[in-house]
Amino acid sequence: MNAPPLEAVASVVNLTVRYGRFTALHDFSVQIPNGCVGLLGPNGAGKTTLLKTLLGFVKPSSGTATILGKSVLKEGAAVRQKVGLMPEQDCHLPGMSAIEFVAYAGELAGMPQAQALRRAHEVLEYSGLGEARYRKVETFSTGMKQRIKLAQALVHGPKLLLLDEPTNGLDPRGREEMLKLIRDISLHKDVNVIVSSHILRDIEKTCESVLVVVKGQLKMQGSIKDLTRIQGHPIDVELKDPSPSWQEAVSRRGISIVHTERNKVRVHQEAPTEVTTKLIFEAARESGAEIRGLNVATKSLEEAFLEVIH
Amino acid sequence: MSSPIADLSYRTYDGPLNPPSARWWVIAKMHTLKAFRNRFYWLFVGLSGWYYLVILTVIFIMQMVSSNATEMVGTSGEAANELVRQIQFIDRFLWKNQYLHGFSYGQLTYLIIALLVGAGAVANDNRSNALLVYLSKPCTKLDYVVGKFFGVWIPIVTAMVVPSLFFFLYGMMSYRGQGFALYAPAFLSLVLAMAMSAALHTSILLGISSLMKQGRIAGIIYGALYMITNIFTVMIWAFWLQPLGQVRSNGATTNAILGAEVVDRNPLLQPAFYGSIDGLNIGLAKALLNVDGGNGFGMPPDPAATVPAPNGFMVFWLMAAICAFWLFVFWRRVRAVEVVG
Repeated sequence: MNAPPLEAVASVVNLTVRYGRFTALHDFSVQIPNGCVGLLGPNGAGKTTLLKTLLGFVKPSSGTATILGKSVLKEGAAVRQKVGLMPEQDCHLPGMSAIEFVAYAGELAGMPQAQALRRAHEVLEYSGLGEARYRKVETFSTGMKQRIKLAQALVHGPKLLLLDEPTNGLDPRGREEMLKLIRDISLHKDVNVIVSSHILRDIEKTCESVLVVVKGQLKMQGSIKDLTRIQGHPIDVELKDPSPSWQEAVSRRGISIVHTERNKVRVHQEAPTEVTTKLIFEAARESGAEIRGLNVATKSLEEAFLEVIH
Repeated sequence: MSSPIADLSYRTYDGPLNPPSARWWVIAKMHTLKAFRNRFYWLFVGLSGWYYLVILTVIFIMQMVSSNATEMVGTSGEAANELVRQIQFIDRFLWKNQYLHGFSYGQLTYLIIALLVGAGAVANDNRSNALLVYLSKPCTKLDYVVGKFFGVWIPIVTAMVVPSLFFFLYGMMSYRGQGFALYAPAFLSLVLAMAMSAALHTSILLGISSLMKQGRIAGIIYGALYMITNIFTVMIWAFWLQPLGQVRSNGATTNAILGAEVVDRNPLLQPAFYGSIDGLNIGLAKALLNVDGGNGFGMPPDPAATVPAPNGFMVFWLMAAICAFWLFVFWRRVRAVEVVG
């Protein structure tokens, strides 16, 4: 098997996973890069199966997968020691306080008892549960349960964190805080993150790149920037007031008007962005229009996602 | 936000990590400590030794009375007779029988302890999706099953052994002269029987618990299974005593009955008597201790009413098969979990 490139946190090669006659993943290959990666796909696309396989829960019919250079199939336990899972469902151990639960999760991961306890205090503080550490987990609110799932996934210092719908059931403030935590973990704590979420805005806010899985195959992979880029690099221009004379002036310069919405105009020209920008400003000077904003036009992640899956 | 911890900065953990093997011990240790921290557990451990307490009290009182009688033996013929009776009482003691009685009379409390420790061991995990926590860590399915087994087995076997150990130590200190030391090796046989009995409780409980999502329901089912099979044993016991009652109603004594071999019983009654969880436990203890039991509390034995020990080899393998079956059920229930709903 080819060794994954250094920047790949996980590598999947020709992976086929079947449940009876149903093929969940078909000849699936992907190099998952370092950083924060979003896992997108419609229901039944194979995201679940991919995560299950990476954790060694499911044995593939063929193909291989490695995480951080270790074979998922041959060294499942060693892989899981370097991976943290924050599952979608509520999960805790009944009758345990938060500190006991997280420390126990650390011990299960292989930490010595004293280290696990010390570290549990640390991650509970970091996750915002410092003051609730001695409360029984079953008495926690939904938001707190999300946080403790993150804490138990982080306790042993994983190199890869799998987050499954991390903002499920959170109120807007809790959601923002959770996204901020995820962003902080991936950017400043040297932890690679794979976020599986149906909320595309969450992915947009936290991830640098995405994988789109459709019908058991990798449909698209790339940075969010690439995914949301519109072909031909159109430019969105925001004018102070609607200006037909400016539109005429840009048209004379060979720039086509894609669409107009009051004072916002999207223009396009088969030329480098710098050239088009220069012409836009020339037209504004000529027509006396005032430009308030100018951006390279992008699609929303949702639009891009829908385009990819259809 | 102020915090009692001075350094709140989160750092990547770079401390030691044990190799991902033998995680079962972490699970077993957690369960065991959880049980040991439960005050009800220790309450029932204390209660399970009630027979030993009673018999030691009886012996103590008898000894007090005989010592008084010794002082009075020169002055009273009645006192001399009393002394003889006390000496006969102590001499009649087959000490290893006391182990059996202690174990037999503790069965109900062992059941309660088993329910307390094991009923929710897997069912509660099922309810709270705890398997996701276990299996996403470097724990294998085998670690989980073995860890849960020992996490329940250790507290149960401890509950069984502790009162007997006290009795053993007390006996070794106080009744060496009355033959207690002769039966010291029998204590090891008792511990073996207890280990197997705890394994039986543990396996069935874990098997049932793995099928449920509520510990209470699992407990009720196991309790019902235990009691129903126990009722069966009681019915067999009644059949066992039936011919004895008929012969005795004609005025025969136990010795006469035995001597004349008039007790004609169906040969299936003896093995059937041990056809319950309770019966298997006691049957194995009888076989390992090599005693048939009989009346407790120092009462004179009644061999005709006593069901002889079963074939220990058969009982052991039957118990092992039951354990294997329920552990297989448990094993099958520990499945790869859903990661995304």
